Amino acid sequence: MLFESSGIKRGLAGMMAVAGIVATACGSTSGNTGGSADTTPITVGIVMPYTGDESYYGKFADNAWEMAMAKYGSSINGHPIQLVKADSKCSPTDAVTATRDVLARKPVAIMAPACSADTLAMLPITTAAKVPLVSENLAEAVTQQGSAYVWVVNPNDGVTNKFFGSWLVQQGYSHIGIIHDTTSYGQGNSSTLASALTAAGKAPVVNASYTFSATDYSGQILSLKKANVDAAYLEGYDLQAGNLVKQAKSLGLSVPIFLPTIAADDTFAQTAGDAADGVTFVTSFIPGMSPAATQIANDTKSKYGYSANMDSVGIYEQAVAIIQGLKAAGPTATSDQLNTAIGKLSISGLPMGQLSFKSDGEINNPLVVVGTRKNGQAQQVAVLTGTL
Amino acid sequence: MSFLTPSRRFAAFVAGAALLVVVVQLTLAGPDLLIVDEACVYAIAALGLNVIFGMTGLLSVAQAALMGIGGYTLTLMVARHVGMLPALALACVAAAAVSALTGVIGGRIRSHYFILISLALAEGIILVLVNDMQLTGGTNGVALAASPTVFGLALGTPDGFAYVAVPLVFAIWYLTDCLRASRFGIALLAISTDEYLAAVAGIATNRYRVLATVVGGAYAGFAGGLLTIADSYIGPQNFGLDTGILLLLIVVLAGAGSNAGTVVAALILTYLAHGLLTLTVVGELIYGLAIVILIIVAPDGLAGLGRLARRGARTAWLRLTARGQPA
Amino acid sequence: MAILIQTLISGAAAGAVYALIALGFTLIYKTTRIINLAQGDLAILGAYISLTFVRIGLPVPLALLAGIICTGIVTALIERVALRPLYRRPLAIPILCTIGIAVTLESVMQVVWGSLPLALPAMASSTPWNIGGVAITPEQVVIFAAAIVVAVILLVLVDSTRLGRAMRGTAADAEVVSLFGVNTDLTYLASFAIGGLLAGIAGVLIVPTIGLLPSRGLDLSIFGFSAAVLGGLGSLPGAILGGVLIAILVNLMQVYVSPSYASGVTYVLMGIVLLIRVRGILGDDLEAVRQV
Repeated sequence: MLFESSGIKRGLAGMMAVAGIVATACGSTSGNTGGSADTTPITVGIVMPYTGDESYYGKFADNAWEMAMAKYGSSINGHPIQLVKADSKCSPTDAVTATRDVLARKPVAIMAPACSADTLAMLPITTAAKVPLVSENLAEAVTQQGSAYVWVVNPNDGVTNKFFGSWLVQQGYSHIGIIHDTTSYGQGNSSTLASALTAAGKAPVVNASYTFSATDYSGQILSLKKANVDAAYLEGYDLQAGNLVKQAKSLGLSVPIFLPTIAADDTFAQTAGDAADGVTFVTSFIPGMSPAATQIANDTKSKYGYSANMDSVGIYEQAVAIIQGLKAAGPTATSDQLNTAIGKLSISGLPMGQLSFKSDGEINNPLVVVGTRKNGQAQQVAVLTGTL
Repeated sequence: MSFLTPSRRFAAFVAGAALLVVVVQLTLAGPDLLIVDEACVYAIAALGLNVIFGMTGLLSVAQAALMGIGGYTLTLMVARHVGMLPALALACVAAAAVSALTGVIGGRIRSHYFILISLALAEGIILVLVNDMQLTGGTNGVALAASPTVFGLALGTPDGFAYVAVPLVFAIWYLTDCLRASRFGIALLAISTDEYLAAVAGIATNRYRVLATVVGGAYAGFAGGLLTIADSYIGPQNFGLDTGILLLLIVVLAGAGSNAGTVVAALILTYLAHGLLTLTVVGELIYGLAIVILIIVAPDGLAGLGRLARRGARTAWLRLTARGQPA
Repeated sequence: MAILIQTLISGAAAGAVYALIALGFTLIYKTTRIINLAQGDLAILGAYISLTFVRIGLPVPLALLAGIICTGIVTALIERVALRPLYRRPLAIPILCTIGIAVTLESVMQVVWGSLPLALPAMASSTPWNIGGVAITPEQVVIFAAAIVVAVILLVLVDSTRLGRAMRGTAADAEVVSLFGVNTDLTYLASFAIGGLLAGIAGVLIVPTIGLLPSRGLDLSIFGFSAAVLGGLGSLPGAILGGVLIAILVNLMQVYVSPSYASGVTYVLMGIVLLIRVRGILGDDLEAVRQV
């Protein structure tokens, strides 16, 4: 008898645990529930990393929409813009699932995730659904897939590194070593820089790679030391680049260090600590470079507490492009019509200069600037191309 | 189950599958359908893990990585113009072969320490998948070169996939039930209960253990291929330790090597882990805590609860009809 | 030549930390036969707790110490609440529970501290001294020294004290040892608490190098297990040897063979050890080997 009652007690407790789980499961599902057959709200999708190592992009996205809506409006002729979000986790497979999730709610446009590999994975699906994908990705492959439904608000790495590579050679460096990650972004970034350097007559002497999830870069750093480089180009996402730079200093790599725009990010600075001081980087956004840039830098710092950088500003401009496109196309436009409207946009007064697109989705009038980190701040060094 | 003769059992499975397909298509749409699709894939992989752990007692976290082997095999074959079905078959074979490695190496160690070798295998597979840019595209993943259609249903879309996946789950569930009742299954039960006695009784314990890993691996390969077909995309992120642990927890929640429990647990846990909890920060925490609580409090999992419910219902029925003696 | 020495030095520093993880893991395994899959997550938890102490204003060394002690306490609590009810069940169940605990710990860290990378101040600077072309940072020296001190203390503890003898006895035969007046419950608790302390120490030492993220726990765990298996499951000196060996081998692979596949060395080694010589290099515990 004793046996049975304790067994039943345990069973009841177990049932309650399961019921608890099921009860929490019977709450609302993830993301916004779309409006029913109601046509009033305009649905815009956001696919961004909201969890995981790159979740600061998700935060940038939410804040960017807040700022963009405050300045450019949050409704079109009385139709409010309704955002539906899904988490891409900076992983292509999760991005694909997230995209299908968002597409099920019938958005008229989608804000692309910050990780290039994710966007590349999503692009066939959104193109087939004829929904415009507005992105700030830096990999040039994004506009080379032949899709008519993608718009990139930043100059891509092919453009940027063409100028940066020749600038590096002009500064007198001849033995340049590159360390890059194997994501679509990292590979595009390093290969465009390598071709630019080769075109300028000084092909890189070392080109080492690491995987996104690695934490120890001593092998790659030591191979640069072995080759006696006179300059090191270290590429990665914020956390990885920060660790890379820190470990490079710890291992005694004393040559000048160059980075992509990531060097202006807070996460990079925090992770790299003292090692971040003195690095030089190429970007399209530095806080003091123009009145609009200073304005958004101040707003971002005062409202959200972090420094504005090319990523957060690019995400802001993604939101602006979608809002202005909706204004041009009208609140009842289809995604196809919105796509056409975005392609014809020409917006001035933005932090990174005039925004308009070529037919393949690339930006017109790219802005490329070189900056350096001094005393915890990003400072401008030179303008390589474009108008501020 | 004394009132379900083999033929009635089979009919029940077919009827259940048909019913569920209809229910799913009518009531679910969009994101919920995506979850059901994912749950079907995990149910199949979990059934394979049930053979490895539930029936044989080998604690393994490698099932997700084996899914990855299946999925990438499928992708690579399809890219070389192999047909979808032969590619799926090859996926099963590849995963089964790799899984056999753990069986062979694990032949010398006790079942519950098998987890160490499965951990090494899982991480090793992911390492290769993530780094081999030539073959697998690394972390960027690869799109599936062709999307299959069955009788006009596009398998790359959520509802098309559900039409095929739900019956497949039932079919494999039935198959696994048959497996468990077969000589093979009984041998596994003997081995996991008491190895000494099993060996004394003349069962080739080593061989059966390896076979169990092979069979379980084949399930994983199949599930991995299916997942790739559903997404039309494959990347290493789907097959890491998180998923491996999810599959293991499905089998634990199911309890006592039960197949029915595995399918139900797959649905519950997939809904929790990948559906409901994706945007809530506290969600992951509830998931983790619930697992610990369940392990402590309900050791026989859903199967145990089911048994208790059945027993309670039977007692109530007997009392009601005054046929049996009061307890 | 300088590159080789550099590689060995980086390897030794990392190896010291892996050795600490392996020590905690082995101590728990040795006493209770449970494979604690949450060991790496406990290390990262220690680093997070230390960070909180730093943020509220404690000087860094004190904050780190406080974090380590808290980790020991948390681990003891976990043992008491989650694992003790499971000792009478088949061994697979507590092991599964440690998996659940690992998942829970990671999500707790995400909820409390967020999933964005944070920075824990190191005990010493990471600006290197340049000695004959080889860069050695004060931080590496401190890590190595701390690990040696801790390891020695632990070995003395297990060898000579009453508690240590009780732990060794419980590993051999829990029932018999209780006849001698040893409180097995308390011994189990102590082994987990000490294991937690070891994890905490490892965490605060390595986090300044690898970054503070909830997901780092798993990677640490895997290196720890590999080291423990290589050195010999159940052997404490083996854990130390295994940790250093694995780190040096991985670093050598990284620099001279292939940076990407270097960590694969750990998995291959584990496989080889379990296939050829289950007891590892220094182990004498045959518990893991099947008796059939």
